[in-house]
Amino acid sequence: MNTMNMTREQISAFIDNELTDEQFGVVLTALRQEEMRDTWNTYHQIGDALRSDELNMPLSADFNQRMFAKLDAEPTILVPVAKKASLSRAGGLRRFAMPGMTAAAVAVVAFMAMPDTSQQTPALVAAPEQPVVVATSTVPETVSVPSENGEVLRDPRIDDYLAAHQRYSPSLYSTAQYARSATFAVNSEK
Amino acid sequence: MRQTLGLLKFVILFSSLLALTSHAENSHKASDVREAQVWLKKIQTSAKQLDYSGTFVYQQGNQVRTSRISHVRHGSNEHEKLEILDGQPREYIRNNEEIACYIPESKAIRIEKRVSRDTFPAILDAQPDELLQHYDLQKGERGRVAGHNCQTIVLKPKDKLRYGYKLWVEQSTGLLLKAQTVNEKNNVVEQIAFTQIVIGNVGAASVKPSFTNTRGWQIENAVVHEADLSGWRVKDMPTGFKKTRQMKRLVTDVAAEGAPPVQREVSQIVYTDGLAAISVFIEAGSQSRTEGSMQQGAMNIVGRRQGDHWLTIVGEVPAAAIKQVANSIEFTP
Repeated sequence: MNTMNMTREQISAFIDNELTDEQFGVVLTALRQEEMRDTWNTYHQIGDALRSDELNMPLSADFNQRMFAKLDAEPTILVPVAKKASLSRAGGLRRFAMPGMTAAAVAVVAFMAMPDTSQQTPALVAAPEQPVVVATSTVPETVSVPSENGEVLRDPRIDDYLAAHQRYSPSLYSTAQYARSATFAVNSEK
Repeated sequence: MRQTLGLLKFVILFSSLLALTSHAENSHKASDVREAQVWLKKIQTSAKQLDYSGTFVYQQGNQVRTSRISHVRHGSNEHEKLEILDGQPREYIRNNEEIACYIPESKAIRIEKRVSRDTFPAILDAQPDELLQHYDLQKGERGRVAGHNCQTIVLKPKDKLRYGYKLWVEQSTGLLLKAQTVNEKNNVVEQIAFTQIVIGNVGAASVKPSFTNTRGWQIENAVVHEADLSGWRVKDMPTGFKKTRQMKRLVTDVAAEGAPPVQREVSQIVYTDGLAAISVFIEAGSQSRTEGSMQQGAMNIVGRRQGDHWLTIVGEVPAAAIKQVANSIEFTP
């Protein structure tokens, strides 16, 4: 039982890109079991549910097969080694956060690339730290989504809305809006 | 009978005693509220009229940014310089209502008219008595920020559709030195505070741009038009939020390398209760977007499709308020 819980924790850590190299083998072996694959799917569904009601749906039975077929048909996107390093460093993603650059991320990118393969559109996502307290989470996550340009922090368009909003807001923090957009410029600049 | 009478007497005595103490408490509170109101008014005027220069940190969720601000009042004119000290260098030079943003790495100056009248450390668009309809105002304890003695002011929301605030006001000048936004669990979701500040004696040179040679720099003008968006209505807007602005602007998307930039028109309606604001952004087309919500510090954001439109609702209000707004937007062409 204990071992199983430990494995579950490791699967969760795998989803969050928090595993050490040594742990990868163990988790990948565990994922050969049906039960562990169910755990894997459930954890992703929890993450999806937290991000959007719309995403909260069980996967169809043959989702994996169809996904892999689609992945096989996709052109391979190569990420340079240097970028990889910076991605995993920035990937301090918490439990149920948007998966970083693991296999799950490949699936996410492929999924989003499907409607329009010429334009990458990272999703608008929420990634609260605690699963239960979505509305009150005080620690927002920045979400890394790998793309052709290296790392993109969430949907960069969000920052336009935030800046435009704060410009007209009497908020205490409207001066600081500048600080924010400047910092995001650093991250998306490549 | 006698016993009952005795009991009755006791009850009457006790309740009148209660009333008396609660009355005393109320009047004590009322003077506190009045004093807090005076502090709020002071915050508004001192930030505009005083000369000051200092460094402040802004924390939003798990992110921290440092900036330096210098403000000089020259006759009836206000001059201000804001420098971003973390990440890419940026400089914002404000002369009254005009702001020039210097972006050294792309050799560009972006010019725009300031539209929000009040920014940190000046705040509060609304009159303090209007705020009292939606927030309980209290005088808090005394404290110290960046070496200055401060009076704290607490604004507690009267419903769950807005956050609470705690303000630290410098005792002799009324300058706001620190502010916190707290959620209903009293957790700080966002805060801003001076770490060092000099009040008075700020030289005119400190509000001049650091980039003196800007020959060959590109100058961009941000264009925003007022627009009539009365076809759009929010049925369940939280009480106290009034429509203050409606406008349209062109937003340029940074396209992939080589491709020409894509422009799209975005409409925006702004509602505010004087302390917090909610913006509804409306634009055409929603093909490549995914609905969802996110939180960043005090800011909650919902993106959703409605017919042929894509709506983005943004506000520094709790998630419940943003959801309520997002779910009650109506369009009558």
